[in-house]
Amino acid sequence: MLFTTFYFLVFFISVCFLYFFLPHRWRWLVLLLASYYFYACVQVYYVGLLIFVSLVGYFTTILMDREQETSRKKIYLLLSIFLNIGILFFFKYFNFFSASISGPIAGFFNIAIPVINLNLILPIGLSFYVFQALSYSIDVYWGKKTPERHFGIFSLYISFFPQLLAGPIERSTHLLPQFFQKHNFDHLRVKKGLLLILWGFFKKLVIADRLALIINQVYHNPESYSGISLLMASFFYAFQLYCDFSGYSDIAIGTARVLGFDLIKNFNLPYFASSLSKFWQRWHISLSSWLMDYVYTPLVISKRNWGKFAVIYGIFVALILCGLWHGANWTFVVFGFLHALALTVEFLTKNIRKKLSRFIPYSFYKSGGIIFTFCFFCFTLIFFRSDSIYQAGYIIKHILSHCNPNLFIAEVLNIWGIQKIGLSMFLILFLIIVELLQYIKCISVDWLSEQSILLRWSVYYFLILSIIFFQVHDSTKFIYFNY
Amino acid sequence: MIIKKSLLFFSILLVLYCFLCFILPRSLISNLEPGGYGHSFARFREINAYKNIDILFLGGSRCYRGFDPRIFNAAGISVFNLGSTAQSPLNSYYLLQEYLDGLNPKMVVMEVCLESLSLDGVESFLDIAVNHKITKNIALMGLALNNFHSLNTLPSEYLKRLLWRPLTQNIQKEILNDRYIPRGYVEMDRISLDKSCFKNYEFIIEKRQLRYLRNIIELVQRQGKTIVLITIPVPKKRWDTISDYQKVVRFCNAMAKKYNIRYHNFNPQVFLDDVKDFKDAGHLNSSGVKKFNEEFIKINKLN
Repeated sequence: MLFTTFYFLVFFISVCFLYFFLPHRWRWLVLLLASYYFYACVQVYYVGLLIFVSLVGYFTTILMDREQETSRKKIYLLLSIFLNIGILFFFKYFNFFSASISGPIAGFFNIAIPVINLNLILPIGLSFYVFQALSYSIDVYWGKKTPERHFGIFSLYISFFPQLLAGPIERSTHLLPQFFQKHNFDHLRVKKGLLLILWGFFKKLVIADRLALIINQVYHNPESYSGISLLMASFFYAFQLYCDFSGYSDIAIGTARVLGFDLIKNFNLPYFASSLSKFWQRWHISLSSWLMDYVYTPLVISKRNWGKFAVIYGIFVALILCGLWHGANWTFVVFGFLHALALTVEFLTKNIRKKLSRFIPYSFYKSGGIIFTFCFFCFTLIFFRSDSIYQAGYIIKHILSHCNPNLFIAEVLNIWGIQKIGLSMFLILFLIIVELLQYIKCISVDWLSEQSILLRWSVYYFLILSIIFFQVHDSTKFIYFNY
Repeated sequence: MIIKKSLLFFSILLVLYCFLCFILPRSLISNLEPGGYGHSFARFREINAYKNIDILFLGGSRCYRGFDPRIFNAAGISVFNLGSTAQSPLNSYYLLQEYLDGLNPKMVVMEVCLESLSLDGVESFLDIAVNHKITKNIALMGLALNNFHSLNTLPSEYLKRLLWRPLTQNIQKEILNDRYIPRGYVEMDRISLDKSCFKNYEFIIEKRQLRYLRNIIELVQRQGKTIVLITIPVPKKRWDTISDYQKVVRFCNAMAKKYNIRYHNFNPQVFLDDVKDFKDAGHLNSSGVKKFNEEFIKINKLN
């Protein structure tokens, strides 16, 4: 059951009705059953996996809490990590590592090693709810959170349907307490939630899916396109990925808000970041903060006697894991590696850049930083989007060497049409203007809810009618379902 | 107060919706113009002229580009190609509901391929919705898709024709290198095999499409007609590259056994040349169609 289906609309209205109609003590049960039903509609076989992850998280933390000695607590923590990462490895990474290891080993020893290939479908949302379960176990171990005794509420924390399939990856300290609070129907809160959902649909169905028509065509067969077309597709992909993923996040956050829950903001105008470190504080915030809190910071602290090298070590491990989290392919590893490299350069040149910034007007310095960060991200997305390192290398080589404007003009006229390209560029410009206004704090969901009925309804009509008339059908699946 | 405001909101929305249906140019808002790439407009315009045919072919572009009525006519067999762009079993089922009685074929040949079983059916529905009257079966098809895009295409197409331009005023647009041949066939001679044709892709077969395939078989058998499942030939290299094709073969064999019907898988085939007889990785060109149709007639003992 995707967000963009009629069934979800019926499902959500039914859940809202039941949720606000029933007494508070039964609401967790409604949400839990609805969440399992929601997941069963997507992949019924893997509901068991969701229950298993909940059981592992629940029992390991209860047993951890009973132990006084840290070494014994650690055993249960390691068990939880082993089982959760084990599931992730089995479904997502087994084939990748099997192929990656057997090839070089066979080549080195000159023997034939059969590649073991598990023919399994990746459970949608696995990377998200496993990480959510892991953060809970680690928080309990660190004493940040007491273990949740109510198994039903804990299962709901793992499987809460608005964020089950593609995040945001929630923290137990933030989400769990909310399940115990009573949420009454609040007209203003529901309106804000619905507006966020509408904006999410607009970004996904109107912008992301429209850009996907061009990008998929180019990346499916890059040998047939000029360097400028490849460059354009790579530039468009930055916006497709952002609109697709942030659109999903907005729908998830808006859905939760209607029910009275507050989820972590997952994007904060990332393309206005003036440096890469700031970019990662604004892009997929729930994942980057997870890696910061549970990978980077513990690593740097444990190796603090290495000095600066501890920071560099932490950066590389965290970013390569970030790349690998997205998928079992060397392209994602390269994506993470490039970001790690750039962050390391940023870290090592911090003082030099600070000195340089005194000689450059602030607005130029900041604008330059924003443009450079965006361009670097677009470059790394070539690896992110490509099927293989070879394809990514081919695309980069052709962007640099085959930029023939005449070929590009011919492609625009004969393949896509000026209208298609023009509309895509217009939508990107529209998005940039809206986000710029949000960046300079002129507009926001809260701001709009305080405006006159004429302005509010105009915005609603614009979004609804744009979705009706300009949504594109090619693929309604969200990109981050693949991760 | 909230109810009154909501009613006012949706009333204004409806008015704006109708107004925009009227003023927005079709090219800006439709993914497909009347006609489309599969000549659906021409196909649906002539279909009611045919009755009591021998064979009805059902399927997507491989089907309507794979069976030449002239070759069958030469063998004394009357046929019709009832297909649309990316037609899935879901779309075929509702089209069959619409036309089975009128065409009254002796045999229905249902083209089954991995690609069509992996589709959601929305693209075909859009092709049909802009080129066909919005009848009860077409509306049911749109509703069955469970997709916002199809749900808003239905009323918008209906309103457009009511307010702006009836379907009868449209003409089939010409498509370079394609020729529409009466009885639903689209002939082409292009050859454009590229490397992407031979990459191994993973396909996820939609359970819903399998259900509709069963529905089609049961519908045809209830009417006392013969149904044959076929998998149209693809280049040998593609058949060998894509491992998921075997899933479809296993499924069709199981269906054939369960319903006591024939299933012909024309892959891997020996009578076609990968370079000379195919337009691309999924479609035969006119040379390939001739060889394939003769083989089809021979296997089914239709001559």
